[in-house]
Amino acid sequence: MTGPALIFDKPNAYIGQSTPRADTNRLLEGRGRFVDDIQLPRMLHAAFLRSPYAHAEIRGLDTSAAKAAPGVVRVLTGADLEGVVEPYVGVLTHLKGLRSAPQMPLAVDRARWQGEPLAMVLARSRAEAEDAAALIEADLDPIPAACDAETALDPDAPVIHPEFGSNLAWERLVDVGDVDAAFARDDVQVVSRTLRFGRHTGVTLETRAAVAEYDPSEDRLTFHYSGQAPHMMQFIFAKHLGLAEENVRVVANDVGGSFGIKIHTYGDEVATAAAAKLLGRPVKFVADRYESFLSDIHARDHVVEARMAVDKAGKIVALDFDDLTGIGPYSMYPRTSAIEANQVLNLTGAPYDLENYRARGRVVFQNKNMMCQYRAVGHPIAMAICDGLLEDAAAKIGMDVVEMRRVNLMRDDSYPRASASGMKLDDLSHQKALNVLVETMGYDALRAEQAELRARGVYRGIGFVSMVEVTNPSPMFYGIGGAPIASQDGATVRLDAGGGLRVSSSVTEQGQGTNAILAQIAAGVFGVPIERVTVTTGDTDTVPYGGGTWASRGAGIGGEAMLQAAHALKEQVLEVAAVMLQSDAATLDIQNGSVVDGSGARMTLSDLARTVYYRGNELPSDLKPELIATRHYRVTDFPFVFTNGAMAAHVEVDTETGLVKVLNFWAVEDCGRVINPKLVDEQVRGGVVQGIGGALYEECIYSEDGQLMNATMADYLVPMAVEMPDIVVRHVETPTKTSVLGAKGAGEAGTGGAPAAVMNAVNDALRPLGATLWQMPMTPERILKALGKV
Amino acid sequence: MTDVMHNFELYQPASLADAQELLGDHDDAWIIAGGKDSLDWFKHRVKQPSVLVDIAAIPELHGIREEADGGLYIGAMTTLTEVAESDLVNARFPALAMAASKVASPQIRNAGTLGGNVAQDTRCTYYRDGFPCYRAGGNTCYANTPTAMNREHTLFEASRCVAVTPSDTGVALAALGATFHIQGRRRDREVSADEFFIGPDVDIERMTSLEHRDILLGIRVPGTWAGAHQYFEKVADRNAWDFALVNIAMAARMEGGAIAEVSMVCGAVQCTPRRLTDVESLIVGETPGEELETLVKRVASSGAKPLNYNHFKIPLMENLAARAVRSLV
Repeated sequence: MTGPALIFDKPNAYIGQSTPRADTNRLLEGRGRFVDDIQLPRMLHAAFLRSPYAHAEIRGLDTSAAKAAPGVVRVLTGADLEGVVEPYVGVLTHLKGLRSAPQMPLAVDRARWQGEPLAMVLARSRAEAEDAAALIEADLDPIPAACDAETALDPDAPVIHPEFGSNLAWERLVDVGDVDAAFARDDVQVVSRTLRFGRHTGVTLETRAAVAEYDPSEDRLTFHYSGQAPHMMQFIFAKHLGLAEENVRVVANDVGGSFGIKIHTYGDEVATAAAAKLLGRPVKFVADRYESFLSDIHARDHVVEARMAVDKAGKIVALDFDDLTGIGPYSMYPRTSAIEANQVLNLTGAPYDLENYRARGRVVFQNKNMMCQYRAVGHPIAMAICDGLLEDAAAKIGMDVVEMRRVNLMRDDSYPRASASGMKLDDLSHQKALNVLVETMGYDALRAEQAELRARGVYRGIGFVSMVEVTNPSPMFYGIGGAPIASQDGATVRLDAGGGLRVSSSVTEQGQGTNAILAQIAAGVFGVPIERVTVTTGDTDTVPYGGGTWASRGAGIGGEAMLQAAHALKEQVLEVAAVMLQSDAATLDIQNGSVVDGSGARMTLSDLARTVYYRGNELPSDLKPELIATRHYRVTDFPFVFTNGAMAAHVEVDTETGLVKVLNFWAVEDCGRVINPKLVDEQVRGGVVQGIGGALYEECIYSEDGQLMNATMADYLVPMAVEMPDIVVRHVETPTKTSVLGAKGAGEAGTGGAPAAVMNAVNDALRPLGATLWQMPMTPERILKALGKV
Repeated sequence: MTDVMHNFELYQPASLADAQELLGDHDDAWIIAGGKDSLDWFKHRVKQPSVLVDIAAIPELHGIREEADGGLYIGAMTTLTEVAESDLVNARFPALAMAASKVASPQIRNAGTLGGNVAQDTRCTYYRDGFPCYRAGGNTCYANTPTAMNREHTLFEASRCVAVTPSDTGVALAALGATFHIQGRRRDREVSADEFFIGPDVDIERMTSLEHRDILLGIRVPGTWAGAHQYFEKVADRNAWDFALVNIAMAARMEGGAIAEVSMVCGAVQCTPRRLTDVESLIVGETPGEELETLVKRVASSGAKPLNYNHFKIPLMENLAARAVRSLV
């Protein structure tokens, strides 16, 4: 990389400091600007009637009573949107063979999951809209449903899209080395297990929400959006509502969490935009918690048959698995629902030196809510398969799990190289991270304590995971497959007359602190106090074009673009300053809001900017000052910039009640250069908690006929603060060579790694009792069953 | 879908007389205490009473008073936090304090009341989702079919309906021999836990014997078990803010190393708190220890009739009963 080399040592370089977020006070004082805070003149409120059945023919929707109800302005059904909305199909060309059927925002003729929107009521208030929605007479004829992914491919399973002939959406096989020969060797031990990962979902604090306004005089749609990818949505609304792309403005102000939930195309949100266009009035839709559970994308839902062969020295000789995942009745648009299975095939075993690797992934349609990308896409499955079997094999051959990892982890000096599945890897530190972890947790003392407690009937377990995380994706992730999803991001930095810096970026803020690190980078690289930086993100009218924040790319890609833009503006400003001060630009610098040289401050930025903006007459006429700079950045040398981490969980299992208590959790993370230690730690801790949720509590429980049985916060169990352990976070910093900033992503590691670590810890506790458990979440009921008490 | 409550009239009487008059005027009046159960019903629009009578402002429903027999009288509107933190309750009836402290979350305990906790409706998800089941006035049970999800449902005493009592404090109060003080249309009455909590065989649409125009005024915990050894434990899928899979409360007195008197009650296994009389008669006069625990496990769940998915509650119940006995060692 070319660029500024010395930006990290400046007196006011904020990079590496735990600078507080600028928006903290605003949010704590209740002055957030979330979608539901928006009130517009003549605004209507939407409520949806949703399918109560997993699979049903729609014989008719009698909306006459609803239309006559107080306050109701319009009732729309699927038929009303035909010709208004162009159907969408969730496929990508690089996922060869992936198929999905065209989707409409409101079901037409047939409903394919419980919760699919059937009709939309638009009324003066949400209460009136809900009153009227209850008056719609829906003549629905339930038909046989294929709910269970494991039987969805059976010959007698109902086929959800008859034109496809089966419920198979996609299939991929990776086959490297000679797996069969490796398993056939007579000097190997084999472990094989069936792993099950329940469905769970994001449970964002702010539910999905939309306010759409349409101005017919300019044919212009403004969509206030709670989400992660404004430019992607701009393209989607333009394409599917028949608008010029430049006439669609998508604005994401404050967003109360997303975790990948709010990065997809939802029928209710498209219907909200379509209704605004049809009626010429603003329309608000805010999902309530019940419909969030029914319609926010779900995650995971995998069944994996896996086996691993190891030799006497503990070396993994081969890994072989078959992953089946259910994605609901459609592949989600536009990112598709095949990416998670693809990730599982790409990432499993990636930390380890592995020659023989075979993985089959099958993605099937089913009559449940749609499954798609959620925080740490595919990672928890991939890590649990390999590290779960590794610890199982270690127990079988009587080897310590840390020692076994040391034998198998790629050496830190062996990069660049590729994983068994062909992923290009560089700048990783598995061995070092494991060493830091073992030292931090006091591993030997814990093992001694464990043995002593076991003798007294207390069952504690220690479990590990060594992991990779996909971050900073290149166009190879989505763009190559034809999706309107940018892999590059832009940043603009402008010096204002008052000497403040106004910056904007195409990455977005969903609560993780993106805006804070953008300000740190701009202030530090350019040379102003951070209080003088104002950040704008999330508005397609004003920010540079880019992808948004997802796949742990905000800091690594958006941050690098900001670094480059701030550095470019600095050079531009120093060029002007050199003329005004009659100095050589090479002897000047910008520090704390002033142009300085070896003798100290020579001129404030405000003086410089006011001269340029107001008194251009004082400048030579051949000087054409530019006090604004824009730069874009994308990853070019790698499909993804991988990071790595090592984590460990310490649990106690109550063998009489089946309760698991997580006593401690340690995470060592290498995300390259740490821009803001506090924010990275928050990301890791939050991710770990979400991972513990998937491992122990969270599951969307469906009945056999496709009814979601626990769609409330009292019944769907997210982790609560009181039962979470202290989470110790340590860092190893191996900057990526793909950028000057050197930052990789950090946002998903905890979620990707914690489930495997917790599962391994529980099994470590259960093994002396002759039991193991390979199904998440690991509930008291399942633990008692594993112990043979039921 | 449904996020906004239906329209209703809200009355906030400041006296019991006014409350009774309002209940007399409105046949479908719904009494609301802390609102923790009620508001969910309304937001989901499964229940839509046209009149609400909020009894929070009635002074005599609040507070904890000492009784002459060494017991306590706890006003129905006393919050669960007040019960859990009360020095009097902790000194005399720690099982009740523990049960109150295990209900839901701190926020809910701050607003939720003791009266509301014992009078709350069942958590059967079919019933709460608005399925027209027996309990909702229909003619079928959706939770007891070959494919139904019923891991949280009954082991005992099912009668068409298989829903269980969700209350933690109800189980402790039943073990402590509490009585429930009710003001009815004409006169006050005081009933035992056996009479207060009712099963589907008595009335399939109610969980308690409270009828229209009945106001639960308070709960009297007699001095019988004050200061005696007490035990409460709750197992849930999540160890905070979750309803019990099984819970247990016990009060006991020891004499010369043997169990002299005991009262043991399990919750979330049938529609009402279940007195474990077999265990009680087994262990009285016996010395706690491993041997006794083994016997306790044998009888604790006798008669259980598990449904498709709740067999795990049987060992859970047996283990909890054994643990309660172990606490006496």
